[in-house]
Amino acid sequence: MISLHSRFIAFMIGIVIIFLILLFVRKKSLEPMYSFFWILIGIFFISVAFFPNIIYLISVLLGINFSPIGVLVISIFGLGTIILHLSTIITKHQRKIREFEKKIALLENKIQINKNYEKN
Amino acid sequence: MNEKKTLILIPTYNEGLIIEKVISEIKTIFKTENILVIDAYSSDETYNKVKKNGANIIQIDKIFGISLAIETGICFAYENDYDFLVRIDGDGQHSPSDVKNLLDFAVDNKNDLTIGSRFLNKSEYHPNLLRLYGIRLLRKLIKIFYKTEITDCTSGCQILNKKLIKELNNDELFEYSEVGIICKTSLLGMSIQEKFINMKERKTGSSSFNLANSFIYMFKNILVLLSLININFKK
Repeated sequence: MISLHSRFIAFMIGIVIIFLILLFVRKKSLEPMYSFFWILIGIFFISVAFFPNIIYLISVLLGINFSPIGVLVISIFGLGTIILHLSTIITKHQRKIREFEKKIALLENKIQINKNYEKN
Repeated sequence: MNEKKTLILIPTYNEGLIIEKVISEIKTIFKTENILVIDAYSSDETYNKVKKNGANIIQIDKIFGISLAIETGICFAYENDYDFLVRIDGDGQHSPSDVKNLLDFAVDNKNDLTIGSRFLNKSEYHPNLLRLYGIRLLRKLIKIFYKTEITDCTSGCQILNKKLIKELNNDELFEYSEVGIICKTSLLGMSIQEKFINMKERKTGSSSFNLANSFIYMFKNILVLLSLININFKK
């Protein structure tokens, strides 16, 4: 069984995560859209603090006898999902930047040509 | 044929030693002023030298690779209504008179994409082994998936006509690469033809290809090749 001590720590971690994320969103250093995952993680921590049996339940569902491994598997899966999600976002931004670079370069060139034309 | 507007596109990176010669040769042989140099913010004198020679120059950051350079060229050609886009390497490895022949060939045969192949005949070009086998693999893959036979699918000398320029410009998701363009062209059902072109040994500057780069290049090209097939299935 999980001790009261660790449950308290899990609760505090959950609270801190949610608090930090809300702070970041308020300070506009985190898009509300991306805060979603992190809030979920915070909620997970808090729910583990109140219902520690969640961990056993999940481990059993995954067919794992040693429940700490269940926790690890879930965390790795969750983090992997977040990273993949972020990768797609990076790709989207990269495409956008590429497009901008192209357009700006062409516009600059046009301005240059016009300037030369006016000079002559 | 003289009424055809032709844009000569030269992607460069640190080619300051030879770029003047390349541009002046192109000017005398093609008798055109429509030269567009796309420079990747060279750290040497490339920019100033090109300016001095009166050619048009656009700078595109190196991190986007050569693909964005060529895409910009395609976009430029589309906006300014060019009939042909001739892409030549900036290192002086293609002789402009050969490219001129290739252009005449392209105009006569009304091809959408014309490729200057280094392998149709014996040329002075000797790629490293990885690149050579990579090219062979790509050739096989293109033949299997796109039913198009290309001997030199990574040639740096390609001529695009107006129709193809328009199609590529309208396709926002298209990222240019030598192989990608071949796949795209055959997907669109346009004609591709090859003609032999000699490629001299590089005299100045350094190639962007070393062993690791070659590997990445091949990997990217194979991915491009495979990713374009999916679009084919969707249709």
